[in-house]
Amino acid sequence: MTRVTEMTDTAPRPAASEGSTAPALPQTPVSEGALRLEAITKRFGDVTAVDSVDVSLEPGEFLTLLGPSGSGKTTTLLLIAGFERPTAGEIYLDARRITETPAHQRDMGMVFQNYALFPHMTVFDNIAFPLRMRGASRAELRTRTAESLALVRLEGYEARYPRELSGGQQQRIALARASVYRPPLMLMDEPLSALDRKLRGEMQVEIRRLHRDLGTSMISVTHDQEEALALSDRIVLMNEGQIEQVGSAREIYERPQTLFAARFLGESNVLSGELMQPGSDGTAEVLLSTGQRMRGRINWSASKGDPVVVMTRPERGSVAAVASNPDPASNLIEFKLDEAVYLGDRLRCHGTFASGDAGVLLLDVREAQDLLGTGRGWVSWPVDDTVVLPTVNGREVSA
Amino acid sequence: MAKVTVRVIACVIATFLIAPTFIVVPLALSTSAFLEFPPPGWSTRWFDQFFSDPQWTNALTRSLEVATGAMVLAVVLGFAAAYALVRSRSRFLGWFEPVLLLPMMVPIIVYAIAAYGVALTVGLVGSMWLLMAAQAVIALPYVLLNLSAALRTTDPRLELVAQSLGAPPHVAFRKVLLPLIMPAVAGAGLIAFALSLDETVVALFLTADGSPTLPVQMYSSIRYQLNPLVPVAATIMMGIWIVIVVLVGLIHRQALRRGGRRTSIEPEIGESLTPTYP
Repeated sequence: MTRVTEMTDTAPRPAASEGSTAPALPQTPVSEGALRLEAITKRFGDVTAVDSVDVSLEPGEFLTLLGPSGSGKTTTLLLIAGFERPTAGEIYLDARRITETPAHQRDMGMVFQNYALFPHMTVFDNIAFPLRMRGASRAELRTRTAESLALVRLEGYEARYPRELSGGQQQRIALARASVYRPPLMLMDEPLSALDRKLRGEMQVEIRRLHRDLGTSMISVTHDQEEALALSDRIVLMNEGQIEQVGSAREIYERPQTLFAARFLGESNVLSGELMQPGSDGTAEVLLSTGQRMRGRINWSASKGDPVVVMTRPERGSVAAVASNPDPASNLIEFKLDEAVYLGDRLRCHGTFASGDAGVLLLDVREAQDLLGTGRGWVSWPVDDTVVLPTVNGREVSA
Repeated sequence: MAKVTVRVIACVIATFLIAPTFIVVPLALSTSAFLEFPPPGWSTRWFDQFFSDPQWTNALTRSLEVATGAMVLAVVLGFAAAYALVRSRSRFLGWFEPVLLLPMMVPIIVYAIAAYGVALTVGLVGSMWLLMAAQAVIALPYVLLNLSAALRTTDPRLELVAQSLGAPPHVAFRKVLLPLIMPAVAGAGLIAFALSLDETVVALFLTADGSPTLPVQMYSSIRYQLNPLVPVAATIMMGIWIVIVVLVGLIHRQALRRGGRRTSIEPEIGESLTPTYP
């Protein structure tokens, strides 16, 4: 018990990391690509862009930094890439401290939003660039460039110039260039936002496949929740320089921990009230402002009388037949329909809850017949799909 | 019909603007010892005399040397300044840009007198080096404007991505940025060269009597012994100037053809916006 284990702060730094200018060319990933940010803070003048952020990335994981513009997600990526130095905090790649390592010695593959292909170089020279920087032989250049082009399915494009390629092709060349030297970690800044909707879908599949084939850790930055859902193993939801929540897409969607998280990912109905009874079973009863009661899951410490909100998802609600059904496992509330939008498979119903809060329901067309006919009805949500959240956490932003 | 009219008017205006300049050519090729127009006959005797007179040839060489020096100096300083101004986040530098453009605004005669004062103080009147420096200052704003425009249209992420791919900053600069803005650097250099070659006011103050630059030599010739060597010198200068204009044009065209600095997201759209030359 007397021996205090020193943490990785003093982890041995490989001798080659700071001294040599040209990074070596690995055959396979030398590093596992585990990344750790410890209390990273970045200030620009008076503005704190990133505020004490902790992130850890497992080897081979696909992590997405998701958030609105100005949330600090891009700054975080630039800090990881080494284009910016943190004001405070440490960054580790595997056991190696890289907080001050210059970008060109970090061995991370970077893909920018606009692809940033070198316009004066052919596709071959673009992809060969990182290999040349590592002193690869001529034969090696040829084989590895060809391999990389095959990986993104653009064989035979060596002699083209970037301007002769479509947006999707440019994107794939950028991916090939960033992965040709087998970096342990690839970074992508809004990789799909410059593409049209259809191509975006194709590229999502492509990036997932590349991630699987290469086994490389990847960090992507996006403001697009759909992109985050499609690509990531885990999502780091950021807001105003801080992390709101970390988890799988499903965790954040179904168990948001803040109102911001609930609103940013997907649609939500938010009813405000006051906490009645913090239950012992992980649920709590809430008294809405107009007197109705709702029960929902709660995983934060609150006491009776605290102002709270009840959050539900539009598609988890269903039309309830009888108003007086006292099922303890579900919440019941009256809904007044203002407008219904026919979506083919579903009906999107905009209206007002009995509590006075505006809300949205996604209902099966047949299920919604009564509601359509009378313009009002009762809807219910399972308690399990109802979440009780703090009203304010100081950084609430409407999505 | 309207199109033809516009073209005719354009040609007339162009003639009005440029034609007087070309009058020096027949004057230089004249047989007459006086500045007669139209010339009574044609000959190259004045050219022969120009190139056999060391006073004139020395002035020409001196001018070319000074212009070369001023060009190198202006481009090196202008590039460094433009890079700092465009890529830095510093607020101070933003405030500094107009200061660097001041030489363009200051009356040239004021600057010339000031430069003369400096030359007297440091005892460098007649020094070619001081003249180079002074003319580089005059060219600096033009170089700066050209290069900062080019740098602003060059995506800074290209250098960043090069670094992330393993290139140390100086390699990223040399392999990625420099090739992309080379046309602008060359263009700016040629402009600096042309400005210096033609600069007379500062040169009048800073050159010694025995070692004038070509414009200064022409000016004194006109004052004391007007002879057809002046139009010959003018013709030579115009020849150099035409070469420079053509070179700038070629560089510009080359830059457009390569798509150079443009890193467009949608090349299909971007391509049609690029002027194409047959």
